[in-house]
Amino acid sequence: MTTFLSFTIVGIVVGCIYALTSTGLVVTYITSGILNFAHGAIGMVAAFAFWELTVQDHWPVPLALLFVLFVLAPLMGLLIDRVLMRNLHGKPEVIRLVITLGLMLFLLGLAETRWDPGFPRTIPKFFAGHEVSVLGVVVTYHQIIVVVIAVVVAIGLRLFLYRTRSGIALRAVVDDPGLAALNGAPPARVRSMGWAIGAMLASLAGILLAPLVTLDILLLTLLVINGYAAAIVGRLRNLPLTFAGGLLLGLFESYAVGYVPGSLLSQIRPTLPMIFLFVVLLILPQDRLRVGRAAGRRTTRVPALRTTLIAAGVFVVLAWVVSGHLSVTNLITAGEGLVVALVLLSLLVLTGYGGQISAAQLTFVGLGAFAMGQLGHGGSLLGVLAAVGLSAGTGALVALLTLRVRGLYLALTTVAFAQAMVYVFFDNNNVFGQGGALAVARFHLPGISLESDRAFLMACAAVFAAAAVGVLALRRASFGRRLAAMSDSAAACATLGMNIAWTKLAVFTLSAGLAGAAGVLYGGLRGSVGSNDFTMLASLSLLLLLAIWGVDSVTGVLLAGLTYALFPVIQSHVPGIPSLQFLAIGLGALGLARNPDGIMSQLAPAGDGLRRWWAARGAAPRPAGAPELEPAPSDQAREEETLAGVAG
Amino acid sequence: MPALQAETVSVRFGGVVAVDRVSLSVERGAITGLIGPNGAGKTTIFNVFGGLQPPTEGRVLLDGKDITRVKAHTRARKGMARTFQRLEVFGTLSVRDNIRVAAEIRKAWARDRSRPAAVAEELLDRIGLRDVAESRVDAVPTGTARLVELARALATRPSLLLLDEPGSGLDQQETTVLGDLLLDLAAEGMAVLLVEHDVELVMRVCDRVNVLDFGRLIAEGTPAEVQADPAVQAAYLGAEEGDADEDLEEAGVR
Amino acid sequence: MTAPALELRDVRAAYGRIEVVHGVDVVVPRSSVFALLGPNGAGKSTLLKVAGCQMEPTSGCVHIAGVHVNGASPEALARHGVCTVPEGRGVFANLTVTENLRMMTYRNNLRPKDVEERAFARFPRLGERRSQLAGTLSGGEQQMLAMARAVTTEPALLLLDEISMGLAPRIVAELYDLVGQLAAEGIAILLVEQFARTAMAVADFAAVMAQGRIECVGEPADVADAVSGAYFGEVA
Repeated sequence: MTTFLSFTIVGIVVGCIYALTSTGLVVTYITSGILNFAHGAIGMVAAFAFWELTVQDHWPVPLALLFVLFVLAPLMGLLIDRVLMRNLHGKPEVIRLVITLGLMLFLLGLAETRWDPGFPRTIPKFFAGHEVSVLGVVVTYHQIIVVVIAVVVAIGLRLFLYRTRSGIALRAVVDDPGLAALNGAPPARVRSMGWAIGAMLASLAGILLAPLVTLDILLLTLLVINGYAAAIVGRLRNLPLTFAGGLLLGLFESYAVGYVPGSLLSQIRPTLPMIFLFVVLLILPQDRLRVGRAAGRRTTRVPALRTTLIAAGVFVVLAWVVSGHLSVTNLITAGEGLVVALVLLSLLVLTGYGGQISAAQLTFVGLGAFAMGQLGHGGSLLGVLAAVGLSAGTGALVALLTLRVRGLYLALTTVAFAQAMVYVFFDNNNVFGQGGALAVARFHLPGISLESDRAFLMACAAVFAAAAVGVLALRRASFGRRLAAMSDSAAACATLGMNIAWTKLAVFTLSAGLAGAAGVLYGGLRGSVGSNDFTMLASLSLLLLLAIWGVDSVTGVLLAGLTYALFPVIQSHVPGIPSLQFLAIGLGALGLARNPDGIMSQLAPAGDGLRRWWAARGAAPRPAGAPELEPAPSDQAREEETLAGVAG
Repeated sequence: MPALQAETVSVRFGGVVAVDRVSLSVERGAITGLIGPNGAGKTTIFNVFGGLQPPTEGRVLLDGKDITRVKAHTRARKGMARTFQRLEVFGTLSVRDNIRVAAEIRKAWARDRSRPAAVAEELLDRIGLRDVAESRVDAVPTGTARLVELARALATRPSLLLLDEPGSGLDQQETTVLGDLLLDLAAEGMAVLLVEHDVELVMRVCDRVNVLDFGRLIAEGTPAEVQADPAVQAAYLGAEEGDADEDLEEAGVR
Repeated sequence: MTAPALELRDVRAAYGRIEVVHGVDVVVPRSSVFALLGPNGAGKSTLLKVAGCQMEPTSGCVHIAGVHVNGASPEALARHGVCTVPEGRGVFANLTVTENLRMMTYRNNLRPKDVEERAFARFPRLGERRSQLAGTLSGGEQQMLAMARAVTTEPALLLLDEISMGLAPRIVAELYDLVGQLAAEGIAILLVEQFARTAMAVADFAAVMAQGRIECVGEPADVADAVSGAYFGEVA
């Protein structure tokens, strides 16, 4: 009984913290329509700032607390709203999502730069050492304070939202922003308020949680997953249910720790919030197909088959020439760039063409590498088949499990899936062996050895070129049109008789299979893979990278892959900024707030000019009836997709 | 047996009754009109037919079979096609590809030997979209986009066509062409349900007209009968002094 | 001479590339009711949105009481006494009646109690349902709640968009009685309406709009024929 009680108390305390953070998440979401993936990161920054002020600069605790909660936190919220979020109304969901993801990575990078992760820090508990005994169970003052604060915040928020005009205005803006304006309430100011409140609650949760766990950048940032899991219980709308969801999650975790056998627990413990999130997502009633279009998005022009074949050929030849001059290190770097490009290509099919968001693409890459490592001894093609099969099969499974969810919920589920896979699969010693490194052989073709680094690089280049040609051919084919149609209007597709579920399943499977193939190359290139190669954050980085360059540009994918591989090289030249990659990708994603279509759309006018010049050069002998240059409206500039564009 | 029947269909949103026990039928080889002032519940009942809005009560029958709980994509496979009042075109595709992809979606479920590319070319000519075939659909005027939706619906070779305000955004001449096209389709045996606020178009092409007002069916008959109906006059122009229908008085008040 | 309550000069408006109002002039003199009539899709509601600064015209000017207000925010306009009752239900469905009324206090920073008193005096039914969510009210009650803003905030200019939509004739008659009373109190009103007869009964001026243009403008009696033509075609 005492054990049960003590686990209940721990569950309630942690649950209160989850409830605080998820409440903040929901307040921001309902007022701005933006689900803030950086919510945990904001709390993380606040907790570190609080540590710096109290432990390092010796401010009195109450002063530091007041400063962080009532100055720093709202300021962060307002800044985020003003600089980033205000322009995002009516933008496609994927862009809104990507920008908050970018913010999360950026804050992570910033924190790692300012607060060296190698240096252990702790925030002392409030009134450390003071405790009381309740029914024989020891309860610390900190625990009591957490519960009291949560209750006070819940009541305060309720009073604010239902008794004050500002609070009512906040709810009114959620209901109908246009009508709120007609009443004289400025929706923009109300939304800023939503961001400020959200940031304050995130910070409060961060500061309360940090003393209970460790002051760890990643751990606090990922608190956002717990926040979502709780918020999903309230369907991202209902505050009391959200609060209950937080408590439920806290208790669930605590009881699991108390009553699940130790050996099993050690494996699943970190995934408890993800399991919770999965279950809640799957039992929630499904949304009906919604009518209503997202704002027009740009698309990249798809070149003719002949053009892509020529471009692919030129690319492979160029790779051959260039690779003759590269050192071994550079060969590996270039190969990694091509592998990343291939992963991005698989993501392009899913996100750019299919309109589905996945933050778990590296999970499929990892599964591919794993299958190759286990079954592809001596580089047999059996391993390649197994890799593609395992990844595609898992992709299909994920699609089946997530058929009911879309958009935002889908992104969340894949985040949880990626993180859960890291915990139970990639970090599992039985998977990658002791020490976490699994040897992966280079596959070989009959009669052709790919053992030399240059030969394997050429294999990577050839696979990428073939995949690119294939993906573009797919885009021109019936399946590609059906995907485009589905991402433009799923409702219309359904009324034409399309089974949306099967189409989603197909694109997920295809994309995961391609990612699995990339895993074979990755493993072969490196010789071995480790558990750190397939983290959820790295998957997120790739999703952002794709968005930064343009979700449906194959040229963009290649450039993105090659530059991504250069990060470690550049990093070695700037040791002063330890998380260059997160900072750069985060900043790049934040830039999408200004230019949501990505870098390649910026380059499009240049491409058009080039094409016009080329056409003008050969204009005279144009055969009668040949189509004129596409009279694209100026605001819909498109881009020629050629790999030669990179080569030249 | 009518192609489509609604039996005492009601839809309630909170305290508002959007559709109140409406029964109507759509015959083959004819154009059935559905008119009514703004907010009369036309689009709501239309979404009930299309499978995007479950009715609070009542049944929908397609060729005599109950399809009330059947999903939208299955309805399409049974021969129902529709357009949307708020356009749901495939904005990033060209006009030609919008039609072609519809034919391809159909081919994927019908599993026949149809040639989607040829279907698209044929419909481009039939609907008069040849000149804009290459344009991206989110760059064409609303009227043209409506015709694209119509062509797309026809590409699935439906036996029942539901049109939600196909005439809005069309100019006089385009409306005339649309009317002629609908008459042709009906003559070929198709059942057409036309929800439209362009009363002139409705009166010209429809065989029967149903009039909705605040969720109720207030009149049904030939265009001439409906036009002469005082209740319809009142619904459109407002009541004349003293002739407010007793029956209508309580409606709108719970 | 004082400036008119509202003046729209050569206003054009578009959704994206598609122009729906093609150069329209409207003058609403002070203390008068101007009815904008015509079939659906004629551009009436768009014009009203331009007048209320909910939508930026592509060209042309909006003057309210002689002040050029192009580019002003709708909330600023609302605080300065322009009351727009939008199409559909102008209520917050997930707020209670009382909370809806609380939102009406932004204009002149009215006291919540005063707003409630005035609203309930005019619409006793709302008083009986004060703690009910607005979304659960009947259509007529919702429209009364929306109109309560016109009653309680003492606007100088009232813009009404199809307040009769989906309502029973008796309710519509009640609402138009109210419009008549507000006009008698000296509020200038621009109303968009599909029920032409009802609207013309209270209007001082009426205009018929079709295809984004004003076809005919004058006193109600002068435009009656044009109205029926615009709705049913010339042969009706």
